[in-house]
Amino acid sequence: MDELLREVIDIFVAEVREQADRISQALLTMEQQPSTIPTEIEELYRQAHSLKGSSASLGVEELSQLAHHLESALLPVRRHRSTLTAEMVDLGLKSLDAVKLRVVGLLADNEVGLAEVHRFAEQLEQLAQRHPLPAPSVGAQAVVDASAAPIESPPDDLRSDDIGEPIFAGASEAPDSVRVSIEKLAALIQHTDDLRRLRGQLERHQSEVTTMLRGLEKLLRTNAKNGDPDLKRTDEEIQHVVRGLRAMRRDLLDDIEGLQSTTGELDDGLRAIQLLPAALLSQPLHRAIREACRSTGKEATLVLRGEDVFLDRTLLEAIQTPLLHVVRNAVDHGIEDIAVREAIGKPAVGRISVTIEQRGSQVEITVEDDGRGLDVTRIREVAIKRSLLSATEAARLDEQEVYQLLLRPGFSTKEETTTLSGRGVGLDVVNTTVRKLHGSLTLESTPGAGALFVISVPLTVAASRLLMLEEQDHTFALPLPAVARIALPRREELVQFGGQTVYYIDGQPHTVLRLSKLLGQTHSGDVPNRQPLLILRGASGVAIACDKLRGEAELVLRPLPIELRRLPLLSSVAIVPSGPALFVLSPQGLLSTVGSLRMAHDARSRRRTVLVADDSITTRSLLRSVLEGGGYRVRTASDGDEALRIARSEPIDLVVSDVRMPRLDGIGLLQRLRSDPRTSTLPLVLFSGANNDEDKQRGLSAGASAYLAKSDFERGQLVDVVTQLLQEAGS
Amino acid sequence: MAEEVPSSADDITRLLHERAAQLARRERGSDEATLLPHVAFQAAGQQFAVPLRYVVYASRLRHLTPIPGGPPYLLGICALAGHLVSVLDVAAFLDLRQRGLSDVACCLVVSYEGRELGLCAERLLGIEDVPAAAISPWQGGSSMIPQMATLPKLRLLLLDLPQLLSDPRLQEERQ
Repeated sequence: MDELLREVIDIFVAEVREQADRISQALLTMEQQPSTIPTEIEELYRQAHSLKGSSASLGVEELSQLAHHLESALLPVRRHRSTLTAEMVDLGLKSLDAVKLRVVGLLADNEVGLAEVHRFAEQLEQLAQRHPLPAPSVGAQAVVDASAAPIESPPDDLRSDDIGEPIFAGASEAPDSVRVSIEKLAALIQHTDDLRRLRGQLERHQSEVTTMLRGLEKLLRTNAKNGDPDLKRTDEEIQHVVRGLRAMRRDLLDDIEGLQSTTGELDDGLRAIQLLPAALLSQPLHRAIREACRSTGKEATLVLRGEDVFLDRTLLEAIQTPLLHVVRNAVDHGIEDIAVREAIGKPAVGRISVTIEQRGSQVEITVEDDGRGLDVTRIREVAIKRSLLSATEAARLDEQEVYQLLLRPGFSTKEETTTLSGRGVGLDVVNTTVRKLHGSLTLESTPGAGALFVISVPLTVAASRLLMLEEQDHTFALPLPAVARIALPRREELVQFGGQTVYYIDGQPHTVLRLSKLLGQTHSGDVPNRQPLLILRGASGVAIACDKLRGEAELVLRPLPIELRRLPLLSSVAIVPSGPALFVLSPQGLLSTVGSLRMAHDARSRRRTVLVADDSITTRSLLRSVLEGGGYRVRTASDGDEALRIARSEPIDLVVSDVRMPRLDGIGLLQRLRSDPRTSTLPLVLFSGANNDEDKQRGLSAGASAYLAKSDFERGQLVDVVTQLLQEAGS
Repeated sequence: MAEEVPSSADDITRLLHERAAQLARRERGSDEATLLPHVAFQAAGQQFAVPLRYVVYASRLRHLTPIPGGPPYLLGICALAGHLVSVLDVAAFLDLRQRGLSDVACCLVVSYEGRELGLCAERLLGIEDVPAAAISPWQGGSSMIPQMATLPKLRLLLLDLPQLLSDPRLQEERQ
């Protein structure tokens, strides 16, 4: 790489990318609103000329040539001798993609993108030759150029070696702004952290001075009470020190206040620098819709609202890809073909509205189309066809639950994309990205009228609201949006089942897992009363226990050092003013570990199916819930006859049966099971509503493995007994 | 005195060889006199040194946060003067422990090609100007310590920081 280029490569690349973006935007605007051509073509020429000049001055001839041919290809439009054709726009946009690819190669000092740039430069040259302009005389040329763009327009026949002085993009527009690299900005943010820490230290010093002052003032009061004349001189000296300390405390308070104000302003300023307007999404969205329309033969326009909302740079970058996915899907699967739209009385051109709004600490991005909407029936069919659900299960799902199927990983493979008339392509990717940003994705649809996708994410990902918690004397943080609920149960509300602790929330069993266990540590100490339980979004049936909650805080997050990024449970580091760095736990990592632990537990109790026989649906439901909470599969029967049929025809590991049931009671069931060689050793637990000695004796005599009263269930003994009997049967 | 003008191709070759040998001797002599500043520190019974040019900060170690699920050679993370670093127990990492670490008192923040790491130290021994002549190969079997320096009062194991930072155990890939 040329030495000069090496020195300015970062600035050059940023400038070229900006120029390419501006040219792309001008092309798209001219295509959509032909009335803007006279102004946009001049903007395009200015940017292309800057690109040509700066590239040539640094010896990047391939970009200079391409910019030159781009100007030539579009000259007929500038001279009002040709309309802007789709071919021109296509080729222009692809050429600019090649330019962006080439700068990647330049950064890496290799040939990446070089062939593409040459190829598109050649195509642009051929396009220019197809629309030749009569060669003007020098005088005529001067007149035309002067009328079109008196100062900045280049001569049309400019060769790259004629370029002369470089022209820097933006120099004429923003002389009072400078480019700052993200790394430098990050370094500045780090230094503000140091300032905050310094403020914390000053606050501690001020507190120490206050303590000293109080001590001395107390001593003075004691001396005054004693009235000892010998201490008078000492008291005067102490008074002198006290006055000095008071002055020092005042100074310290002033300094703390000053530092507080400075750090606050610095924080605000730095955060503002990191914010970018949502308008930057405009061009990529226009292009995505345009390309999707061209490949499907449909027509759609973009209506973008909220371009003036400012978003964190990191968030804007992260949200762009999922957003492009959603609008492409809207064209591909939502907007109908032109003929269909006209036949059903819709405008031929579909409409896709993207609205960006700030709602409190969240940004809400809504993508709405006026297409056919989501086809609930078809989504159900695909789910059944792919064995994700049985027909009965699919029929039970309400509309929202059906939409959620679209977000399942792998639901929308390419094969399904062609057969599924609703949406599906890559929505799992969209959902995953949104969840990584601690956001949510919701779907709504009106059949025949369109679909609505709402992405909601926290306003900033640089500083986050965190829940601080303590486990084993260490403090951790969790992103607050990832926490769905916090419970503080009394000790007696926690139920022990088969070695697991279960807590019921809204009637649903939640297995309690210690945070330390998820972190791979052993936990010592008893379960305290009102122990905090955290229920994470997306973690059904699990509550994570920690020792203490330490409140909420909004802290600046830093990425993990490289060597720690392989640890799935950690997501970032939060810097606490005047305190240690804190690990922010990864909700995804925790969920994944929870999943692994549950799989391991399920594996231990796999294929252990318990048959519950009871004529009361309430008791059956209760026992199902209790046993499933303990990790068992459950089959149910409403009387002894049905239970006998199931036990003879299905793999059952243990039976839990009520004594009193219609048709065939529990004792009868037990006798029939014992007399059949297929089921003679099947463990059976009898229970009854009351602790009835007669029932108990009859049952145990008939060969029951155990007898329980309902009160035993309430004490959580059922799962323990079942587990023990199955272990005995296994051994 | 005017230098003798070589008269044949052989003379020219001989003369060039002599000049090359002279240059080589002069070069070696200057190397031996060169002083290479290193920061020396003690950890787990060993004395290590790292070239001064890699050291960006050294400080008393406060607020070390342990890493849940982290490997035993990473003692924790800490934020020092804007540097957020993992703190590495070098001796444990290189399997060179002579004894366990006593209370880690200091952290040396080192940097190479934008990558930063903290090296834990029981004690900072100071900046040592290591003469090139005092450096010899170290036969301890670690590619991360190819050389050692023998000074009048110290025997320092010289850390090859680029090599250390390129160790797969300190890379980003998720398990």
